[in-house]
Amino acid sequence: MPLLTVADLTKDFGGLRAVSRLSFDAEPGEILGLIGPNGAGKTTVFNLVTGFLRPTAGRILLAGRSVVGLRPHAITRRGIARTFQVVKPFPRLSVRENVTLAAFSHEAARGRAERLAAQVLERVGLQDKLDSRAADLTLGEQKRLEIARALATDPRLLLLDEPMGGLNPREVNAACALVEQIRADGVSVILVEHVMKAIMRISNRIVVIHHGEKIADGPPERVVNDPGVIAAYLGTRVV
Amino acid sequence: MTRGSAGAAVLVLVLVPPLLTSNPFLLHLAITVLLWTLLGAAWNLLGGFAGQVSFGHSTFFGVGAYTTMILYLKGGLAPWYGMVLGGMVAVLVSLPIGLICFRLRGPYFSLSTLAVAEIVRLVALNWEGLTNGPVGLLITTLPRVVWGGWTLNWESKVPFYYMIAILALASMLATYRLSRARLGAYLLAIREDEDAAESVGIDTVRAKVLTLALSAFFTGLGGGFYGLYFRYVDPDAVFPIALSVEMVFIAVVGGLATVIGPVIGAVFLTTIGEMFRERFLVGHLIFYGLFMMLVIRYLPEGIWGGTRRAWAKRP
Amino acid sequence: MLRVEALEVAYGKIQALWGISVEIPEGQIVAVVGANGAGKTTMLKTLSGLLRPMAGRISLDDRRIDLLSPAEIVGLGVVHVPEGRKLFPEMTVLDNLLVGGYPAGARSRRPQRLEHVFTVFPRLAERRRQLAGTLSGGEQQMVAIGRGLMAGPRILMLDEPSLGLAPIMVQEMFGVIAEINRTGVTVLLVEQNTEHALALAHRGFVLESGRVALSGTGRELLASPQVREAYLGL
Repeated sequence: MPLLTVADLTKDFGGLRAVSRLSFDAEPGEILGLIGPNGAGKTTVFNLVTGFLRPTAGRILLAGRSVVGLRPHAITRRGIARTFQVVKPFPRLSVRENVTLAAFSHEAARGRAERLAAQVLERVGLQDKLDSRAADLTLGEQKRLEIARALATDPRLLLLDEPMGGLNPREVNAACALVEQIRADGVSVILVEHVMKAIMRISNRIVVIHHGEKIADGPPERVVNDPGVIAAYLGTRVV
Repeated sequence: MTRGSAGAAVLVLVLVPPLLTSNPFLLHLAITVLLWTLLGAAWNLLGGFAGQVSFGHSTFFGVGAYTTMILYLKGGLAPWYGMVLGGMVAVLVSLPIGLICFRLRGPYFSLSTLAVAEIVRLVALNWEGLTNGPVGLLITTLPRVVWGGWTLNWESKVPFYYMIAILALASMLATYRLSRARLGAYLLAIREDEDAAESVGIDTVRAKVLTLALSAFFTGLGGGFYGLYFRYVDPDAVFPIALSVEMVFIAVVGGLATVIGPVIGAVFLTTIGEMFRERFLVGHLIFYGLFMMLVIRYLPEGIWGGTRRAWAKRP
Repeated sequence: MLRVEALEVAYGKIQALWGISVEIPEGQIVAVVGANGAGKTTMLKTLSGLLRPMAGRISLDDRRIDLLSPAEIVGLGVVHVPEGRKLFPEMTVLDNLLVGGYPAGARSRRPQRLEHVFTVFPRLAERRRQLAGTLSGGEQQMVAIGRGLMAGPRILMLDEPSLGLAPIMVQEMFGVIAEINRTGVTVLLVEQNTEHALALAHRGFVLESGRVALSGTGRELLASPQVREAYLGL
């Protein structure tokens, strides 16, 4: 059974149809790339799946159970975690506290929650910055903090919204390795990204969205050579 | 200084003054400071920790005051019990208010609380059957209280002093416990970024509603005490915007999200109030605004917060 | 044309730039690449006057500009297009562009410059009445660059113009930058998209931890083993 099923998902904002009868699945143990031009609706899809927006129509199922109508915190507790396109740390709190708060979602005791947070922060390579203020980190570090925070909620499915934006190629490589490690640890990932090198390298499958509709769905090599995708999104060559 | 010895010091500092002086003016001043401490601490729970800046807390103060007065004058219930019930009625009132106002964020939330407070004041002014309207409610005699062979002297300020001291201490203890609890951590997260807080599994609505209820309870208690101490309540005394602003002032100047902050803020407010009361009746509001702006600009963590930070940085 | 000598910049107690010295020749595209936190945005902000250096000097045609206000610096033709576009989302595309032409020196030439911007970015002409906040990322980036052009820059400083753009838009963006340079505008390009930036640039330099680690022509840097390993992930 797919881990996430999105069926006929539609979202209207007044007269504007942002997402139109979108259907796709995310299987357990895979990294699904979600690409498309700016304004195509990718972040809207994330907001719908995580409960920040309510669908106008359609179904969203996590392991067969509907999550439509649940508030974001409830959806997180069901097992879907996310990062934001523009990082949203808790700026005046420490790195450790940022992640401990997330760990509280399934670990009530502060001592244990803090230890869990420290473990997760080590996985993303921020173990030396535990007591720094989140606002004082560089962008790359803040992105890693955001991923750590999401991981600390012990998700089954992780939605990453442009985690590579603003990172240079070496940092992108490190981020790719981290996401692959996350998959290896049993967490499925849906990755919205513009950095094609990253998407190509780590995705098992790619879904392409344009004007709120799906225009391609399949393995990376096939999608990337699809003429419609090239015309709408890639241009003539993939860097 | 350990937690225990700090607590003992506070206890001593608070309980000792009536033993040192029987000057009614000084005791009245002390009672005023403690009442403001209670109110500032109550506001601080929602405004300092959760970052939800309410300009309408006079609603809960007035509800507490009127509940206490009405239950005593019309129902014969002793005002100290009425005070507690006043707090509880304030909690009940806070639930629909939270439901409506928490849909809004930031300055819109603040404005909505202001609107609610004004509406409640106008209701109190006009619902003469319940509140006696602008005439207000007056307690002429407080009930006789006898302990052992000893009758409580209501003419003295001392019993009132101890009453408000206990309430103020209770509010500070509640603040302390909240700051150590998971809810306290959740509130700080909500203050930093509400959406991010939701996304890590924090039920932000529940947290805000709970905190508002707690805040309303203590504010209502304060209102009940006001009725009991001043013995006269009318809509402009207990529902004015100025009162809501003063609660914000105490917490901001004293130190948001701290336990000691409200005490310091209360001392400041009372001192300034005494200095200005004779000269400007309404002008003191301008002064509060000015002072708050200075604090926010140069000492954003308040006097206590700033002191704590300077202390931590010492070589 | 633009010379930076021994620039030292700090944020409070934290020093971000340590003795940066670079030269930006007139009419060229110069790329600045480096890791996050290396100091690229800090450098641009100091050049445009948003930050004050602790030491060093910045000269435009041998005239010292590091002591001037940001508005004066714009008046001299040094225009900064900041990271993240920073448009006015509730204003139309047209109004956003017109604001760019607000400085006293630029106002007289506003209508011509507007026409020029619409020639460079035909899509913006179509969308001139649309609210800037409703445009896609690529279109917003165009508005940001267009707004910069409205001030009639001699040197245009772009901070991460390709950030968050679809690959097809990235190609278009770099094409536009090359086009702008061909009309005689010097371009200082800060980019994470190292490969594209160095391929386009005449000259480039690499910032590491607030210092200039490497410099050379675009081609030299693209071929340099250090750059390839550290920044191109190859």
